[in-house]
Amino acid sequence: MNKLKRITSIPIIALAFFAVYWGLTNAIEKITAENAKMDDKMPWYIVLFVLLPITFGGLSIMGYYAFKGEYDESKM
Amino acid sequence: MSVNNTKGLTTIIAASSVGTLIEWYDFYIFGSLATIISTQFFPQTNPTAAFLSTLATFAAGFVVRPFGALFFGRLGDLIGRKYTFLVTLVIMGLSTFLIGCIPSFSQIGYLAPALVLILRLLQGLALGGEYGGAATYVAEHSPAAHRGFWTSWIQTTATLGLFLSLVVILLTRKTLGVESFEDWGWRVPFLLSIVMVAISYIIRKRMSESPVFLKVKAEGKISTNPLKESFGEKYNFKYVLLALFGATMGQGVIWYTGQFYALSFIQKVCNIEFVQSNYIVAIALAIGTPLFVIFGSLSDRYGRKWIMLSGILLGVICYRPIYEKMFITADISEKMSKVSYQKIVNTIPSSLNGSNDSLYITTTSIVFADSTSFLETKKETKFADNSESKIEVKKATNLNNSDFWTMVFLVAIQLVFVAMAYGPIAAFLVELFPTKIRYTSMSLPYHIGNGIFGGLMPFMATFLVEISRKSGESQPYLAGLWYPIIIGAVTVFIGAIFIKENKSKHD
Repeated sequence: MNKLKRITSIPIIALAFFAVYWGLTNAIEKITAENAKMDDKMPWYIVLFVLLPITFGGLSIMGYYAFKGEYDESKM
Repeated sequence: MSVNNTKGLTTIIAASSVGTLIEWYDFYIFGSLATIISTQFFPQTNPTAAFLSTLATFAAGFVVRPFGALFFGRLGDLIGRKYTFLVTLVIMGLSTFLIGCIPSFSQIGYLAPALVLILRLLQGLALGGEYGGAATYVAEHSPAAHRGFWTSWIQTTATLGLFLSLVVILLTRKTLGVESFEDWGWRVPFLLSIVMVAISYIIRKRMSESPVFLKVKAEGKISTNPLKESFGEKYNFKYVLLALFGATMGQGVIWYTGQFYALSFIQKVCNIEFVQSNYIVAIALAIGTPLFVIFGSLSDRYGRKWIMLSGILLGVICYRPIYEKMFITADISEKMSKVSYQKIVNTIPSSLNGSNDSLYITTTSIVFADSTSFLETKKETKFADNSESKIEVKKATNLNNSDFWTMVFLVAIQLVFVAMAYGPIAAFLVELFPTKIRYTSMSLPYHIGNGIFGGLMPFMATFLVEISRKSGESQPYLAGLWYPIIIGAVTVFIGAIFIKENKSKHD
């Protein structure tokens, strides 16, 4: 199980990068779009400044911890 | 457990749950009355007011709730659970009451939307602090073997709060009439809050502090800096991350999909008539709410992990077939050959406000052989200056008895998933963290999972549907489900591997 947890750290970190790529490209496109109203932009600001930092930061730290063995059975 | 203990615990649960229910009620009436509030305080023709409206809508749910979790969580770990969730109750109650007292935009100008925004933010802050306090307080009174059962009562309060808000609004509207309600009657549900909060405050004030917290305090083991210990120390922070990505993130999207997205889908995509659509969801909620307690109780016997993750996984697997069936059930295009009656009721050109613009209202009513009825109202405004006409179409399908119950069944299934994911989660979170930092540590992942990941569900779903329509996919109305499916799948993946089933890690 410990080995599986360490291997899983790789897709978790990859997911963090994918989320930030997907979020950034869409958010920037929507926020900078011509004729975009504040109602349309506001959720993308939430994505950009709240959701993405939490997702990227959280998943990458969790992946790092998993890789370093912090979630090993002996440490839980 | 003795009869006296059970009786005492029942009183504790009731007192805690009523307060939490009232806080949810307060939070939801703003959302339920958003249209009226918008006309009273945030006229859309005024860009500044419209901006404040958008801020009030998003900030309270997304930004302030996690801050409330941190602020009150810290307080709860330092001075105690009881006093902290008394404070959140008072803040919520007063904010709600005061929203009902604010003069409209036409009376005091910008001060009105500014005050509403401030009070709405205070509501979000209080809600962020309430849940963790109530869950912790109840869990710390409960025997470890039955913690899932007792804390699951707290889990029912969000749904019941939504119920209560709808009932109070509908009753007030029916009693006062639509015109009076939209003029001033909408304030009544806000003003009523102060009575409910006062009663709940008195009950809560008589309650004793959590015995587990008192024990830790007596031993001098209270945390001096709960924020630092929760998020600055690797040992605890890894559990915060695990709680978020392995449980609350998926649970949040399942909760929003099963309750709010289902209603929105029935109304906007299936075009089911307003009152009938609310009946469908209300009946499904009535069926589903007791299941929170049942799954909470089952988690005491079989463990929290697999019940929660199974609920999320079932959502991931079943959402697309369920929503496709919902769409087919309400789809009248297949019924065209069975039409028993069809009539164009009227087409009326009329003068608008003394101008030369004209309004044409076309009402089409169809009754099918199987008793399903359909009403379409098309309003077309033709402008005198020959600019492009404005067309507004409203469709309302009234399902026959059989389809109505099929729809109830399809929503109720989703409520089973919600109950599985949500029923045991308070006990799960409480047991993940030690007493001295429990309030802080469990509140943040809960409010990020539910407020941010769950709260973004309607927006993300709309965005995904838009992408799907542009790319010409065959079922764009199902594309919005990819958001809960992906988030849910990630949660199950992480939770299954990393969560260790350990019911009594911390008392």
